[in-house]
Amino acid sequence: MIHISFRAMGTDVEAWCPGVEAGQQLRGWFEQVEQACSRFRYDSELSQINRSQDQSFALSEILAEVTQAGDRARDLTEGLVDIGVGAGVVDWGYDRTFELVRPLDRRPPRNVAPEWSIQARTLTRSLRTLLDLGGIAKGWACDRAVEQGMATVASAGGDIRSTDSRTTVPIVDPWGEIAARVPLGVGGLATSSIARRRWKAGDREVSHLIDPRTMEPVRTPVRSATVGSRAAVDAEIGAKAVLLHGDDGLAWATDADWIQSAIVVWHDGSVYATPGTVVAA
Amino acid sequence: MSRFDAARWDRIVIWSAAALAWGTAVIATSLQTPNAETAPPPATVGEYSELAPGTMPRPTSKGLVILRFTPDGDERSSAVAASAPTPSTPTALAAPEPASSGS
Repeated sequence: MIHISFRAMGTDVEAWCPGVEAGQQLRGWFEQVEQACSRFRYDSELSQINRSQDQSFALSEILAEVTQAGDRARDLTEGLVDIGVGAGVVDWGYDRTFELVRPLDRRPPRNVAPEWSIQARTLTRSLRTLLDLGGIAKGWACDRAVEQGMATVASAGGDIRSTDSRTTVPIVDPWGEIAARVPLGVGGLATSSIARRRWKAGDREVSHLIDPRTMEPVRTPVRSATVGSRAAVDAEIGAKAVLLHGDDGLAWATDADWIQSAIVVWHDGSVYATPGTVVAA
Repeated sequence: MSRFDAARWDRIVIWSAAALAWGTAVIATSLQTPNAETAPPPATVGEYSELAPGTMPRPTSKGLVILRFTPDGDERSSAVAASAPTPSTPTALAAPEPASSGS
């Protein structure tokens, strides 16, 4: 077993792999996913679609599966987590890798609501709808890497999938302190935060998380949300939804039977969890 | 026949009132000083302009678990941009411990 870490998809990836060959396979896998799903690579499949004036596309297998995961996210959250908010992300200034994002002088005009669908590998979307696969792609990539035996534990930007019963995850709050330690074991876990990717747009300080109900950066009292579920991509969907639900996030997570546990870091630094959440000492 | 005349009673009342006022002032000062010393710096407008008001999450139908409680007014003044260190050496292989801080 080896431990590796590298940069991919604009974030830190780390994994525990059965051997060197599996580790190399894992790096290649993340490269493939990035080439299909990145908003920031000019020649990626997603960038070509987002630039296109067409409205219907035959997708590669990878992009189709990630888009289908996005479709599932929309269903599970009644539209609250929507990969079609890309135009909102771009209009509010996050149209390049975060290190290059600059403040906007003024708020952009309100964008139209996302409109897209996928049937098998065919994507249909309105011209003003751009896809942003972001965390969904990271979680999905970790899931597939572990399911295909490239790793026993894979993490991309805190979206984690594990088949090792000993895996414990320290949840790090926006101030760098450990808010809780979760004995993840076998399953998925993801943290979504509005504390790290922030910039100014007019008189507002905004985050990268766009609320599809307003097509503006979310306003929420939750600094970060962590969700445990059977897979990393489900955990990612749940974490984003809890953030977007704000005050009602934990109540919503308690009623969602596909979510095993949820932890939020409140804006004042308090840490709350759903009943039944197990934390390590 | 009283042992004290009217003037002496006046002095007793005046000094008692003065002592009571002084004592009250001392107690009030001692209660305020620690608060002033421990009060955190106010949050900057820019940092919290996006945060909607709310004292705590709405409880779930099964209750709410509090893992760490920071009372109102004890707002954290700054957030770090970097994630926590993650294990990077083979010695961590005994038990995987990937950190999760969000991106």
